[in-house]
Amino acid sequence: MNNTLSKKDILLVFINLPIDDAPKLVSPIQIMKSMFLLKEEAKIQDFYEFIPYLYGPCSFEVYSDLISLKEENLIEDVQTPFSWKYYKVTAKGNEVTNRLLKSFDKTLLQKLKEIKMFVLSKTFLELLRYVYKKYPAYAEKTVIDFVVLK
Amino acid sequence: MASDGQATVNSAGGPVRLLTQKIFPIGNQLLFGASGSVGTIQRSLFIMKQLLQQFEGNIDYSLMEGVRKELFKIYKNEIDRHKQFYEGTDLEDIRNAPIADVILCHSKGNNKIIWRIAPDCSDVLLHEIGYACTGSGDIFAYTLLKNFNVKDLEVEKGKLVAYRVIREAIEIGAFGLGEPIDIWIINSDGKITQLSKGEIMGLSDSFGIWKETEREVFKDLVKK
Repeated sequence: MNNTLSKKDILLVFINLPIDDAPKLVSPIQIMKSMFLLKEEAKIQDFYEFIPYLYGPCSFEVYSDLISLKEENLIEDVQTPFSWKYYKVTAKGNEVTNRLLKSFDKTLLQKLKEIKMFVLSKTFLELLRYVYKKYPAYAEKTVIDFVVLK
Repeated sequence: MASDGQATVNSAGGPVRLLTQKIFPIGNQLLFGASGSVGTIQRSLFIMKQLLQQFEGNIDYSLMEGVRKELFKIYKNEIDRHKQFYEGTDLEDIRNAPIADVILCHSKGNNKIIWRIAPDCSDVLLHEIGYACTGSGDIFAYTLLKNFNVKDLEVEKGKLVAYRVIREAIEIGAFGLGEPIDIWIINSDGKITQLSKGEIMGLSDSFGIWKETEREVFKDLVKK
């Protein structure tokens, strides 16, 4: 991992990364799966540790960092008609992100963008299906049976 | 054991909503949960902590009678005081008296106890059924729980069912229910833990996925 950046920094940058030049709201599931894919596909060391959970790979440290970013007024949640809140960065979070981007590894940033685009292009169930199929060891505690769910 | 995080307490201007904890460990082997008046819950917890300090996994007749007798003293005292104070007014009915409805849980190995003590101190052991509910949202909880294989669920899935039941009861808007959701666990070794904020967020997201899956499967049958 980039020596000057923490996991929490990467998480913040991810939430604020624009896709098609527009900021996007991201759900906790999209964030969780993106951090997991980043760890697995970019082979990042000293990153979040994931365990098999009810909805596939999960790191409770990601939740702790989301709570912390919110307490620092760097992100805020947005209510939606769905069963969960979405996240976006605040004005303060945007300033911090811009500072972080100056020292951000270009390859890592590109990977982060690719993952965010990929994750946002999928429905929740498509995303879960993809992760479960590619990383079955992390799906062993899931509550969703994709065999019966086409 | 799971609860919402809101209580209704009286103030000079009328009932107000306060954040409160409703589940407490007693020693290191029992979980106490209660609904009702905050003050009476506190007194019930206090007396039960004294009576059950030496609890070592067995609930026998004399212990149960001792607990019920002491709780009955508290509740009767509250009811008598209430009747005396509100005599001749619309509030005299004892259903308005500040009482509590208690659930105690214990688990170690195969020894499991779910003991509910109602406001009149009638009681019932419910571990054969696998669950017990109390409070203004209990009818929602019972309705939802009957659909799940509660007794045989592994702990992680049990947490999710408990989360869903409390969340749905809050969303239905029963009077006096509200966030945050509080969940405590007794594992098979008897160890008691309270779920962290992060774990509650994990359950919230699992609940979201569950609802999404229902929408996917049942299409327009399930509301967005």
